[in-house]
Amino acid sequence: MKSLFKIIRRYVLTAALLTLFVLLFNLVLFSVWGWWTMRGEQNVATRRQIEGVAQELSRTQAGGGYQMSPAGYRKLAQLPFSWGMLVKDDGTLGWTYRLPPEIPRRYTMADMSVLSKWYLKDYPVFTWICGDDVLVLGREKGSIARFNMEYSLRLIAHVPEIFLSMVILNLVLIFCLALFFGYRFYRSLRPIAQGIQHLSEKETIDLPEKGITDELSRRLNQTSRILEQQNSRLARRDQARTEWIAGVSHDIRTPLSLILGYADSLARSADLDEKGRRAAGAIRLQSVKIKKLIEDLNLTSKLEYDAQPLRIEAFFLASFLRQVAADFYNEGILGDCQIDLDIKESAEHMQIEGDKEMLCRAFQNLIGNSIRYAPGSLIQIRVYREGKWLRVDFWDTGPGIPPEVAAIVEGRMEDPSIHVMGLRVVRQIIRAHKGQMRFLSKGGKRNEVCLFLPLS
Amino acid sequence: MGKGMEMDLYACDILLVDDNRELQEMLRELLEREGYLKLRQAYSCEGARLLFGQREPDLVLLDVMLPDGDGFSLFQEFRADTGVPILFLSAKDEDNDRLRGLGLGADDYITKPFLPQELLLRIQAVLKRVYLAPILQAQKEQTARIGQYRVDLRNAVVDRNGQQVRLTAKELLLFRKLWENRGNIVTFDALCRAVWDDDYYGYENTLMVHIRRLREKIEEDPSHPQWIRTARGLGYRLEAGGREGR
Repeated sequence: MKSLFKIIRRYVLTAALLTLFVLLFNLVLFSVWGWWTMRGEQNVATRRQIEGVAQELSRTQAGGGYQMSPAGYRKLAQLPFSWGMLVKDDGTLGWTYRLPPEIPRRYTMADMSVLSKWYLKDYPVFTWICGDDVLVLGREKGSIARFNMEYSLRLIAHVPEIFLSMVILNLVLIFCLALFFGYRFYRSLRPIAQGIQHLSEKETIDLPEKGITDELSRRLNQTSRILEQQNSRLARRDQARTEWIAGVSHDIRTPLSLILGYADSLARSADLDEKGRRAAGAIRLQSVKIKKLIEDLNLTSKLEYDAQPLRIEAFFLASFLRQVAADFYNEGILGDCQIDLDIKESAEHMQIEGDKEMLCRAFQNLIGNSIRYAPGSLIQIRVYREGKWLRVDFWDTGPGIPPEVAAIVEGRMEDPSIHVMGLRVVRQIIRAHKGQMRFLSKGGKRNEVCLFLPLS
Repeated sequence: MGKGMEMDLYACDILLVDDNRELQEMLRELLEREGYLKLRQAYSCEGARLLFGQREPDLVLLDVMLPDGDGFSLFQEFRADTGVPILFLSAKDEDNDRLRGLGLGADDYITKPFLPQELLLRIQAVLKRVYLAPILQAQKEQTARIGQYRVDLRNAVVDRNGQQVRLTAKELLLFRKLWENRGNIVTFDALCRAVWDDDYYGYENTLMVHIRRLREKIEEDPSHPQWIRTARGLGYRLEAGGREGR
């Protein structure tokens, strides 16, 4: 959901930026285009230029006429005017310049008032006061447009504020629109996002297949159905496998009981010679190993597919481990090994939650491994607290766990010729307790098993 | 079995119920070799009911899966009006089955394949508990022999070759626990629990003090204890050499 919100936020921001960019782009485009079309044309005559021309007019000696100095004509030629005239006080013309024939030769006050603002016979004209007379300069028909506009003073006075508020209003509008469409977009995407989340949590989904996301919803529903089918197929297969292993191990139990029973009786029998008894003892020992293997196989398959229920209770790990170690001594199955159980003060009164029987099995497997592969060694177990964990380090003074065994147990390597059932069961049990099992090698040789169990 | 004082556990009448004839054969040989002579065998619920009806056995070894029913219901039938000890011997090692069996009140639940010696020990343990314990209770051990010394468990007195030393209540509790488990390591926790009950945490140091005092009373040389040995990091063990005495 958070990521969806992020998408929408970015969408709104992008929309606002996009609009601003388009506006700015238009502004720039307009300016450039205007400059391009007016470039090279002498379009506008400034007041100063017109005044300059007017100053070159002077009254002739005789009569009420005027004349233009040569410098005045030169200046006039540089300006965009095609003709000109001086209207005298009495309405007659005092001076003319390329006057088109349709331009009247006399003007009333009314004529003057009109031409000063607009056009004269469709010629755009400009006026300039020269003493009591008026200089009129005209341009070609259709060359420019003239507007005479009136603005409210208040309006003019508030132009900066108005401009600013327009910009702000525009931005707000854009933002609101973007938000609105963004929200609609968000709403239509929300079920999809929720669906994906549920899918990732292995739930079945059924999204409404309508709106703009109907296709997506349909696909997601389809995916959900496929996943569900696959999951149930997998579950069925897992269950079948677990049941198969449980069945085989069940069926093997009675024959193994017989082998074990008769091997035991032969090993004690007085009818056999020493050699025969030793052979029977070997059969008994191997049968016990098979028994242990079957138990591990059954347990590992159940743990693998979560078919092994755990009976969780809170208990003190230190006390529990002392009992496990003491039992090894009391049952006399340590052989020549010794257990050095070192429980640090930090771990002494710490409780964990777990299935005691399962954990007992895990520790028995670890100690049993040392007894089997490192006879006569010192089995060292150190227990201490590490943050939220109780850490149990196992090692013995024997050859250590081969690196390839560690790799197989941790699933980093596969090799069907190496059997690691006991350690695998340990790892599964620890994981079922939300703990971790690691192999630490020191000096490249000795492998230490570290168990991390969460404190309750 | 004769219910008199002269208890002979080997004279107990044992009923074996299992549908596997070969296994029955092996069990019979095993038990006979051990000395149990009164054995009867049934291969189905029906057969078991018949034999049970003829004469009530002293112990039943019962399989859970039988061709004409399950051992659990048979167990309930047998237990409905008798207190006969019953051990399950089953190929089902599911925790649920084991718990169901023990939950019903079975005296033990043994899973196949079993170690023959373990089966014998368990049978013996049940027989002892059911038939010998009441008698033993009556003539409860009163004296423990520790080397040259004798510990009077009832009066909490150590007889050091004529010199009488009293044990405190806690020392007596400690000694009893060690004595009952002589030859085995008893963990600190189990000892503390025996003395201070469930609320035993934090008494480890006090325990050491009590053990030291106990050693002073029952060891010839307390600084080199011969009887109460320390199992480093685990607990204490009373050497098995001690004997019961009168």
